[in-house]
Amino acid sequence: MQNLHAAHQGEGGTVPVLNGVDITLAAGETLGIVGESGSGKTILVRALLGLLRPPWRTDVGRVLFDGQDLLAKSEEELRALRGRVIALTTPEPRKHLNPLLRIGEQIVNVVQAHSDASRRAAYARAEELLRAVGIPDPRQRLSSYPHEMSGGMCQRVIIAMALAHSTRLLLADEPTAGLDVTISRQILDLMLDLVRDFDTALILVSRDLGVVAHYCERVAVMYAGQIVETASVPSFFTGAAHPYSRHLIRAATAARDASLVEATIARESSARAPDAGCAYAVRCPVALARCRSERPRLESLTEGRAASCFRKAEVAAARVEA
Amino acid sequence: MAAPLLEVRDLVKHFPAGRERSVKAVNGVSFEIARGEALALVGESGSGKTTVGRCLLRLLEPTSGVIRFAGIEVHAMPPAAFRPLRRRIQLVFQEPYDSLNPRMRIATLVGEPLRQVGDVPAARRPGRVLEVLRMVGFDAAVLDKYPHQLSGGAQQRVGLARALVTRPDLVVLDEPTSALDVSVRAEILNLLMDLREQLGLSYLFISHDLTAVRRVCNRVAVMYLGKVVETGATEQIFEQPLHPYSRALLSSVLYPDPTQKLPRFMLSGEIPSPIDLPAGCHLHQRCPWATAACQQAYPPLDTLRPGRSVACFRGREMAEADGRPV
Amino acid sequence: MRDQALTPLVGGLARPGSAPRGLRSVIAFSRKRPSFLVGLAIVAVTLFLAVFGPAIAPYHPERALPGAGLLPPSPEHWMGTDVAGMDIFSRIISAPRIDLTIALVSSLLAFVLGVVLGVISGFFAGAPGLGRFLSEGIMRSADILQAFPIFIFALALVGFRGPGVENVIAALAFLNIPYFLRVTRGSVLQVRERPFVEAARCAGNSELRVAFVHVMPNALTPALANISPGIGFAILLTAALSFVGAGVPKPTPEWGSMISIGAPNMMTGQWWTAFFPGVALGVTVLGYALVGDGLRDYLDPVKRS
Repeated sequence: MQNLHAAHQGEGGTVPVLNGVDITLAAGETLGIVGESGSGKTILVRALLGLLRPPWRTDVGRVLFDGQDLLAKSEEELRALRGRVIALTTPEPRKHLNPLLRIGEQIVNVVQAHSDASRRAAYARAEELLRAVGIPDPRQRLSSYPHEMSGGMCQRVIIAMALAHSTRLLLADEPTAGLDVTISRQILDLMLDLVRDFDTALILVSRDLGVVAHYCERVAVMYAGQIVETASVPSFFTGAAHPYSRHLIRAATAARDASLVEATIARESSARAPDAGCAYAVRCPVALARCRSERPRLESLTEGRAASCFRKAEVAAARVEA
Repeated sequence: MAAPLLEVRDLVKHFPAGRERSVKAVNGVSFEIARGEALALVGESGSGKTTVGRCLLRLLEPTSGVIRFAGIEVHAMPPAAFRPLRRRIQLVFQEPYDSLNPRMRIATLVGEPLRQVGDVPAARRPGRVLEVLRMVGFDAAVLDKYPHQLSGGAQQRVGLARALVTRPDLVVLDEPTSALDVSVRAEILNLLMDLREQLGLSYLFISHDLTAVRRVCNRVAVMYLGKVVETGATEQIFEQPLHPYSRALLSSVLYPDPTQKLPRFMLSGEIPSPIDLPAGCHLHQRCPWATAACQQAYPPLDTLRPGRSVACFRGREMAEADGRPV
Repeated sequence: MRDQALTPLVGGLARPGSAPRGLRSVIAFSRKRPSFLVGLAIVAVTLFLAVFGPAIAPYHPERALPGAGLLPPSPEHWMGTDVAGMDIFSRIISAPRIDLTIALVSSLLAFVLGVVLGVISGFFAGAPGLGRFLSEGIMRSADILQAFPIFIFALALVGFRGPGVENVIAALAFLNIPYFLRVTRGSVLQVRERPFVEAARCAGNSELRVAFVHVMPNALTPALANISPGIGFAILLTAALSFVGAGVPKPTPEWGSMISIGAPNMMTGQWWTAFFPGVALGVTVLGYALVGDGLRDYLDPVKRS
């Protein structure tokens, strides 16, 4: 993703939500995208799949998949990709299943959308997929309706549908939202096993740093519609290079002084990118005058690490109180 | 030893669900909270922890059992008699926005418990409202605002202020930070800890967020399908969970530290429905330690030491097998 | 968890259920909805005529001019005269006073009673004891009321008590109660599940206070959106009753009774006697319906983002 912008054009005016997102992902890699509400991560996922219709606008930036710009593709071409090469799971699995169709039917739809399998072959494949995602009695389950299944099981079905074809990229948007802790663990383990088996790249969007710490190789932090840091997971947790990342880590570990770190002014500000300067400057405890007028870009700190902060080297080395 | 502030004995709450069937949300729960103590009620969906909280506030009527608050038996009190006690026991809700009447200003919202059941004369009420709002980090500017003008964290602080305005003895917190972002969560938890010290409050902290529990509470009761399966001091439970469900729960916590190895104590399958509870121990179908005995009878809550108990036939045995006898 | 979907977070947090406040947003809304503006214009005209109509009428609306019967539209009589020689234009612009009085009073009565009954019936639905009895009782009464064909019911009621303005108001109020009752009840059933209602109980409010101080104000939106179409409907029903002679007594100008008087004349070619009142009626009811639609959309929390 290069400099991706997305804005919503509504009655109240144009609201920019993505303000220049840069991400690179290698084949088979797992990347965690971390951000809080308002950071734009859900929109990012939708943009990746070309699912943003007017009143959303994505006229600046490119999304290159295997070298080809997804934003420049037609709906037809995108449809051929979706579900086959790029797949999505959502935070509310039950809502994304058709309540009137049996599970078997829905999986068969996905299977047949991208292959010429016969109905019988598709049903066999559906059963195989349900087994692969750990659903007991898969043959019985083919005739269940979504409302007869728990949240965890619905999520497994969604994962099964996502991996029905040889997907190259799986986008998991908050896969454990609303699920119990023990079930979440099961789902995450399942997802990781499957993407490893099929060598699928995974983008895991989450609010939970713990999930990223244990299930991803790399992490990208999102704030106000931009990526403010990217790093490998180990180096991120030992020394994050952006003040916001540090704040998140401290808050996630429920460290005593996490909330002292931020200036109190911004209690009620929304994470909207200002016209000039760094979006985080208002809340940043180590902001310089320069930060309010100049916008830092996502620049490389060391090999495989980048942050959009003028003081990234100091922050990473914890030479400033950040 | 002073009498506990809150005593709950064999609390049961069943909801009818059609002919002859009921949702057995709470099936005989007992615990105590001493003055100044923060007890966590921990569990996943179907555990009944939220229902317990609602019964304490008499928002739901217990099916049976005893609830004693400050020595007074409240479980069967008529609503009119219970009303004055609402001054002493309050509730903080999970949903920051939805727990506030969208058409009321903050000053009115926070002042309502004072007007209804408070013991402060009318002239002094605005002062108390401002005082409690200041305690949670606001200044007077917030008084005239409406809930939708505040962020999620701010709304939750308003909910907290409202719960504290009558200077209660016990505050029940129902998943107070689950709907909040990570950075706001820390702020609220710190506030809760500070206020407890400042005001000498007792908490019943209902949550599935174990990290939050570890920070705020000094004792924990783990619940599964309507029963308490283990109790102990916070560090005891976290260092050495004895019940298989506690083990599974704690091993599912993902700490934001990639160097920490993830323990693999897993339960199989899904949480059964509270309508059709398994016979015997509620966990036996999913438990890796289950034996025939587990299907026959529900394990009694075995008190190992004062304040430390576990409801599992093999809890002690497995702890010894780990090389860590209880 | 919050369903963020695709609504951007504008200046805070996107929230279903909070309507923007203030005149500015009403004006902004109207600008995008020409139908709403048209409706508002029509309503404004009828309100103006209700107050000033009889005063600005060129002829006295109830004075018959002998020898001037059934004159076609002309510069002296813009809409002609009816069989008794009364100027139709003057009568048309004087009619809103009586129609709107009846419609507004009956709608207000129906609104107040319907909302209160709706709150009681919704709030206590499913509750043990007296509450459920009350709630069910109200609903079954409303069912019975609505089961009657409206017009027959109105006729019967007026037949019992005789024609006359108060009786028309009573009949209309009675008939409209179930509509307000049902929409309010539906709204209350949803609102009462929200946490702030439990919070109100924790604060020590009695059930009645919870129902009327906390739930009701948050459940009014559907009922409010229904007032305007309700008024339009009341006007229509008044006209219908007057048409069959069961409404407003004869000489008082009222569109329905004017149509009634003028209908026979349409056969003999004097179309203006029934045509103009008919158009006035149609346009007015349309105006109120448009305002009702606009108001409903304006208050719709889903569109807000």
